Amino acid sequence: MEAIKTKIDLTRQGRLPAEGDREAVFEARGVSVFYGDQRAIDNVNIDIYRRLITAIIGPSGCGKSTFIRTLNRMTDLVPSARLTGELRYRGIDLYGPRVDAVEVRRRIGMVFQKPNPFPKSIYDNVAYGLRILGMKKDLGERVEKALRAAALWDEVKDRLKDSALGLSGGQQQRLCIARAIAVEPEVILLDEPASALDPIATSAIEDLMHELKRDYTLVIVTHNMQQAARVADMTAFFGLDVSPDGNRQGVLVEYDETEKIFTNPSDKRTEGYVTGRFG
Amino acid sequence: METSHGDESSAFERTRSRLDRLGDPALKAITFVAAALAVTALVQITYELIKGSRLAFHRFGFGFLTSQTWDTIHNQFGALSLIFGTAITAILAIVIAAPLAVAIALFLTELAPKPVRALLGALVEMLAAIPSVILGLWGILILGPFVQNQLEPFLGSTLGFLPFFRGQTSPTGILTATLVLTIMVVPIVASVTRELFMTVPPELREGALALGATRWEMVRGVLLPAARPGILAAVALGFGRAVGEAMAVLMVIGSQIGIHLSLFGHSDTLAARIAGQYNGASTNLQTSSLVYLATILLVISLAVNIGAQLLIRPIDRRPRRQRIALDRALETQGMSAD
Amino acid sequence: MAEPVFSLRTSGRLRRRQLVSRMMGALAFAAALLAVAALAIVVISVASKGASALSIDFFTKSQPQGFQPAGGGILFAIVGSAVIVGIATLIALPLGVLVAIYVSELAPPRLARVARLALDITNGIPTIVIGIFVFTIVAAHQSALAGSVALAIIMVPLIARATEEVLLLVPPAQREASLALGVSRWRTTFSVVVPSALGGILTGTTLAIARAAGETAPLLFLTALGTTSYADANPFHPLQSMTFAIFTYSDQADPAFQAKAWAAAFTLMCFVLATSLAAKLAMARYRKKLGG
Repeated sequence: MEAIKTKIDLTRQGRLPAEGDREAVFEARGVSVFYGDQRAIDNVNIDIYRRLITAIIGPSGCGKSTFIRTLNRMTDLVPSARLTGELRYRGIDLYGPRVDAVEVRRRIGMVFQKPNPFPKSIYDNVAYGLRILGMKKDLGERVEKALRAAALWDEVKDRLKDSALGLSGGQQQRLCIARAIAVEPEVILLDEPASALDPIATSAIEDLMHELKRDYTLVIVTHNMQQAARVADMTAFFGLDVSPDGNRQGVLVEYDETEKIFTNPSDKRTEGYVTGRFG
Repeated sequence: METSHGDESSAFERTRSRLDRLGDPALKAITFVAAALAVTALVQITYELIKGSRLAFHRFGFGFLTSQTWDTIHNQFGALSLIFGTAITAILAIVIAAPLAVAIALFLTELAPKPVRALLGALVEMLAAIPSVILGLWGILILGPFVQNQLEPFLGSTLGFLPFFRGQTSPTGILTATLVLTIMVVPIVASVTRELFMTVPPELREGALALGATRWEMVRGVLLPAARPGILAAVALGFGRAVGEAMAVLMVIGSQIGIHLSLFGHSDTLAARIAGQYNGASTNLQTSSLVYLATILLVISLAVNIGAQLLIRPIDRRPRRQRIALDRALETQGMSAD
Repeated sequence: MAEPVFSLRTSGRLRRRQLVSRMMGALAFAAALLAVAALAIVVISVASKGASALSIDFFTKSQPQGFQPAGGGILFAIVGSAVIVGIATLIALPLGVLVAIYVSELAPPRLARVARLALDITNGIPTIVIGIFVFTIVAAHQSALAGSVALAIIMVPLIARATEEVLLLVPPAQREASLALGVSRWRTTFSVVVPSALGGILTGTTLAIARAAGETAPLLFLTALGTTSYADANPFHPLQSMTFAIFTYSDQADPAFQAKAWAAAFTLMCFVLATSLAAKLAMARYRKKLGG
């Protein structure tokens, strides 16, 4: 059943723009990330395109989460983390000397593995970012718009003042997406957004991603290949590499249109992974 | 050890020695008595203090609370100026200490580089472990002269237009006592607050930062609200400590009865007055009056502590619930493994 | 390549927000610095004044009769403190552990909650009040023993709470394994649970000892007066103690006494800080062991 669904969903992607018409938002050139002396990911080269959904898949420990966190400089929060190479966002070096990480994160939002609503009301969760960013005009409307965009409005419109902690896991995650959308970012990064959710909530999130694609560039890390196949236009496969000095690090093995990755990968490791014969 | 074996049918009942069978109810009874003893200590203390203060209560009634006198020659006693001294030193100390302590906790959990955190946290806890008599000694011999010669003249010349900063400078007095109490209370509040901040899940911090909040906006919008009841409780506990501290205050406050606005002047607190009279209670009435003071102190500290506990409990329940959930999860896992 | 039509630099409003954030960070840093400075000033002044007044005699001789400022040492203040705190520990340790066993292993949840609350509130009672409480019972009969009882009342909640915490850390699987062998509950408790938690119980007790050794107020009414001899160790007599010695020496104008006060304070501070630091380190390691 799972396989059939995958097949159906693969056709649901709609028309992918031809290679020449894609506009790169992120351009990574030789990006490596270190935690102290330990190299976590090595020499990643990738273009991530505007208003497409890009999935990052791969075995655990391959640096998927590390990579997505470099895209909005959440890696700054780990004091020992260090990035080499070049990572450009719309032409600007994200790690350039005068780039402000706070400004970066405002434009490039993030949704995390575990739903992390603040211990505040539903309304205040969405309004929080708007308030601190000074987007206080039409606050109520903006909150409603974000909740509608996150397909949560109908479920919570009568209890906006209730604590967000009373929502179900799936609702909490959509609230976190609404919270991220509210501040009008350009990109939304999703780090395994459905791994803590049940299948119904997961499918709601996936539907939502298809909706959001119209206005946003989405990057999703997932360990669930069916999910990548269902939602993503482009898929990047990260693998584990052991360097001669014994260091285990993540590398970008293959990056292509999702359909190609899942039906006709050019790298043996990708093929092994997507067909479940990894190892 | 073992009693004789019965027939087959009673095999489940009789194989354990009497000692072994008695063990469980005995353990339960003994530990219950111990717990009851510990729990009823509160009641015992309250009862004995009320009993001990009966003589003074008979003589002065609640008028004790509104009288400023402490006259050992004419056997007239009252607590008002001591209550005033207690209130002003403890309130001032906590007003200075609370923001300092929260700031220290913030620095220790949010800003300091990782290796520094543990070291600095340990240093702050060490400050909390210094015995109060040593702080008193330091207060009277080192801080006192500094207060008299530098701090009070400076405050007098800059803020002397206020009634609080006027009067004879002195190494002892309300100001010195307040500073010593502040040094005592800061590490207590800071270490509790630090632990509170550490229990706030990192995902909440990330959630705020990923929205483009600055660190301070994250602290103000997420961290402080999440920890607020706990911080209030920590501050209340710190206040309770300041109210109840006897030695350090006794050594630096000047032991003088009277109500005045000057922070430079001498004063006295409930706890310090009791401690200071350890060798001087010459009459039963004076002794009883001291117990009366202790009763007032007990009532204040009970109120502050119960308030603080009520604030903490809802927080306390969460990890316990998580623990139970975790235990259950482990149990079911164990069962499925079989 | 896309043309940069916007900037990721700090600008306008964000500049102000970042400034506020940095200022607050600087304030927090200053506060931490202040706390460390306070600790440093106290510790350094006690150490420098105390160390210079230390001598072999200070630890091996007793206070000269007649409360003479010159010569002698605090041998019997150390002995007295050891006796008073030692007896208090003998009372408080078994009591505290039994209370903890009841609260964490045996009590119905509601009673356990009440007991925890009572212990925490008792922990918040001013120590001078506890001293007065014991005083109302023993009245004029001062003795080291009375002081021990007061210190034990202070120590029981500390030991009970610390023990309870480590008992809860003992994995339920260990209890079940023992119970499943047909071992009775009390044997399981004393042969599996308590030994497993022993490290934690001992560090909790050490912390309580460090706290009790620094207490002065509860001793004032109980074992401070009527000291007939400065060389006594009989727990039924009122005895000298370190803290009380510091207090009485500090009250004297004679610099010789003040030097003794500093030396005694330095000795006590070293003991209290060393024991509590060691206990905290051991506790952290122990938690890691049981927790991980």
